[in-house]
Amino acid sequence: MDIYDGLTDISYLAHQLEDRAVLADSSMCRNLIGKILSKTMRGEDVSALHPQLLKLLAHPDMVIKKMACQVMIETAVEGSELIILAINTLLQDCRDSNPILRGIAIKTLCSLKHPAFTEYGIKVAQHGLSDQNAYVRRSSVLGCTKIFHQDKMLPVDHGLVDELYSILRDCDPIVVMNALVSLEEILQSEGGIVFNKNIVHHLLNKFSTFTTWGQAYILKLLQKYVPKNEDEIFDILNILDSYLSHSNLGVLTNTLELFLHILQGFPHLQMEVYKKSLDSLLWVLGSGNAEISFTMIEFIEKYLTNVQDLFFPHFKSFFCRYKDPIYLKEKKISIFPKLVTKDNVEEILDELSMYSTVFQQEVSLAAMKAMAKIVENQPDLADSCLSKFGILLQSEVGHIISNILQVLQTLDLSRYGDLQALMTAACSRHAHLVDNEEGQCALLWLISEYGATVDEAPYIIEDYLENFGAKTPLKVKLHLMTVTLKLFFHQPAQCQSILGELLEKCLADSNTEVQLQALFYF
Amino acid sequence: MISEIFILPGHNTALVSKRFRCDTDKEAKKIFVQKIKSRDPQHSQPHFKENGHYFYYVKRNGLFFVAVSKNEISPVFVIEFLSRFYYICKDFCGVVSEDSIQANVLLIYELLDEILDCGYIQLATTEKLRPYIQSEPVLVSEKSPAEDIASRLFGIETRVAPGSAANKPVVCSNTDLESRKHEIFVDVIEKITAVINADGTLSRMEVNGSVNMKNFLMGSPQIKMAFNEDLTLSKKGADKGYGNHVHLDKYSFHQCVKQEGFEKSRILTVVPPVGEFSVLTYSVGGDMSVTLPFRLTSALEDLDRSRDMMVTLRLRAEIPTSTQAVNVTVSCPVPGNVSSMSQHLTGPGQTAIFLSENKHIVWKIKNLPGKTEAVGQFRLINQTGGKMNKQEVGPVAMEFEVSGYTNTGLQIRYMRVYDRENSYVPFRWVRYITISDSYIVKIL
Repeated sequence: MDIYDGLTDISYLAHQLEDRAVLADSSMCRNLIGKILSKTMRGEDVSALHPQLLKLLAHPDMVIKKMACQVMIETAVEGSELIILAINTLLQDCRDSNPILRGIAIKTLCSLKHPAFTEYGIKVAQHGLSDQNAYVRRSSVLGCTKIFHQDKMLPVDHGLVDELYSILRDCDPIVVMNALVSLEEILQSEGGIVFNKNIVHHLLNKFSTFTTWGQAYILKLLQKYVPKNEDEIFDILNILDSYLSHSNLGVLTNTLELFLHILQGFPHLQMEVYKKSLDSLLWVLGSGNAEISFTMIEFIEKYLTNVQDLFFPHFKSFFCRYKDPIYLKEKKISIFPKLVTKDNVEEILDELSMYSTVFQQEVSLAAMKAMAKIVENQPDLADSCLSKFGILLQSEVGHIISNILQVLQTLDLSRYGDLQALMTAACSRHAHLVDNEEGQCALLWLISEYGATVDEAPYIIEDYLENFGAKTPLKVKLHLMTVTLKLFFHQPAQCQSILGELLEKCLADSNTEVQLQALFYF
Repeated sequence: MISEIFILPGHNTALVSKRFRCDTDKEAKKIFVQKIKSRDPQHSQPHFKENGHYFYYVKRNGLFFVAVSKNEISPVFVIEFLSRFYYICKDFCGVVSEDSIQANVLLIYELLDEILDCGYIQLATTEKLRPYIQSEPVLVSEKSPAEDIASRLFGIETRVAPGSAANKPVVCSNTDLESRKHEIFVDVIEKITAVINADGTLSRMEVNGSVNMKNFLMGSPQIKMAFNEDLTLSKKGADKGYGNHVHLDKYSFHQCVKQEGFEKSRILTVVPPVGEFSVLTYSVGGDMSVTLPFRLTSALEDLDRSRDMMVTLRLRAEIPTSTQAVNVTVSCPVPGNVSSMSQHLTGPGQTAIFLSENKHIVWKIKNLPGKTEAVGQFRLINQTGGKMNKQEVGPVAMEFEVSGYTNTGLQIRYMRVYDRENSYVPFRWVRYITISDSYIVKIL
């Protein structure tokens, strides 16, 4: 099916659909309606085809009818005549003997945004609430919500709220679920659906009959209910206990949240809940589904501060896989500082050093930042970290040096004498390797802070000065000035000429910020 | 409440797009495309907020499956749903690719119509959706040229199921009902994650496996699957015994599996739903005496009178002689000052290239039979001056596929189908495959 049809095709389609022979041929019609659908999706105007659409709406083939309804819903905001003419067909379908047809008709009637339709829609939906067939009831319940969004007072006026509450006792679980979410939306201004003890008990007793997704919705809504006493709390826990290890993660996470919510007064029980769901939470990380792993780690992060101890032994689950996308690796690496203990620090640091040398720059930077964080948060474990930094400083790869300098900038190196020495040695040896903006700024900043011990500092500055030009980034220029000035105070003799030259160049620079700073220093 | 769902291929025009509620901007697609295209897809998180809209997506086969909402919904929930939606499309269309979606647009619209109403998920299992879907799936065949020629030249129907047989849609149209083959495919897929030290010892290893079933049978027959007799399952806290038996540390069965006979005779009774699902997922990890499928030894030497370095990699396949590894790729980082490389490889079917952007040697071996070796000698040429730092060689990352072999030794001894209603004997296909997830060997 070619979706790149030209505009002229509208007349072609109109012509085709006038032909009786074509209308009788279902597969050709399906093809044509497919093309109309593609056009609507791309935002093209198909109002010229409205008369033909009416015919398709009344077509006996179910697929064509569904698609015609779909096109009507999308485009009928503008074309009002079409809808008025379509009312008859749809109302007839609402009384058809085939329940699927009734359901589709109700869905369509309630979705159309036209004042004339909403009156019909509400009547049809109300009538459908007591239909024999479950499919029709499901469509009718959600039809009420759709009408609510067009006219907020209609459902209330027609007494639908009470009817929806009573339909919570329906035998079909999807109807019940639809009623719950409908009530939640319709009563939004009042805070949503109100749960009383009877409703909650009814839902819990029938909980296993709901679809997985229905269960997830209900668990979310149940957070609104306040159990009256301890017995009720334990009842709820007992019934829903098995869902803490459910295979669908939406259900699992909602159950966990619900339990933690109702157990707010029982911290030791909350710990039990965490323990029970731990295996399932960690299992996901090995599944290979990158998006799910990422969202689960985000979920775990929310609770990590409370239950760090539980996760300490499982740090290996968070190790990065070779094929993980960058966002996932960055996320996993950011978790490591929180999982570090005396026992696992060596292994974690080994792993982080390995990540620090990969060619993906973002991952390398993230790994080094994580190591720096470990140094900050847990000073007693800092020694191993620092030795790793020392090894990294000997690398000859541009981006690694640039990353590590950026990270070292954030640490107070005066506390770590050895590291400082290593850093200064590295600065002098590898200054030429640092090629990206952030790295250069970091290098200059470090020299300015600890420059007294760096012998070659003036020569490094001279290098930069030579390359000073329009292409040098703004930040580097500003840093350059700061660093030269600081060095001047340490080694006036050597720096005087450099400083003079630099200031001259900066004053002549086109950027006002640079000029201002130069003036200030002068 | 999900407001809109659309499927977007690599370029910008959406293949399928359906709005369930009228509260989102019609231009939501454009907002999404702008955000994703502005950064490398590897950087974009699976959910984000932009312009007052919440976007959630999964990326499969180069296609983006996106959900948009005006309110914040639990990301875990939506992403689980989108993953499920991908599998439903797969069950109905056979293969999910840009072509197959384009050919089955009406089918996908019908599916979306029945799966979601007013943004709430109604049904999301293949079996329950089938009665409501009237469109017939259009098959987009992806025959490889070799298969094509073979079938034309020989014109015989062989009993070996071609690789693509499992790509047919599970749900077939009514016309095919008579000619449908009654088949059931079982794939035992194991993914290995390993980090091996320079001296050959194992730093850590984990094997994640799953037994997947693709069920084309109608009705609900009972299937008995028997696994290795010496299979042991780990009980919490108990130590693994010594010996060569197959041991699973963690495992989880699908809901339709009855485990009663498993303790005694290692037989599972499964009443499978139609479509594709995992019967059993398991993982084996920690320190164990499982054989590594590949051993890589390396030697680095500095050459006299030259600044170059010679890297020799010797790859030995420890897999059984009856199997072979295909699409083996050995990727080795090299020091930053390497400008080019010359190579010496043993045997045909091997290629090696040097990528200068990220300083890697990529050595590809088309196939490597069991218990054989491949040796690659690479001379790293340094024209930029300075010594080459040996520390920057490695760690090596390997990718491979081995069919007919499982690392843990898990095997399905037999599979019997008990069906009271029908008298046919279904074809049962079992495939084993081990692939690398993250196989890293340190050089130093």
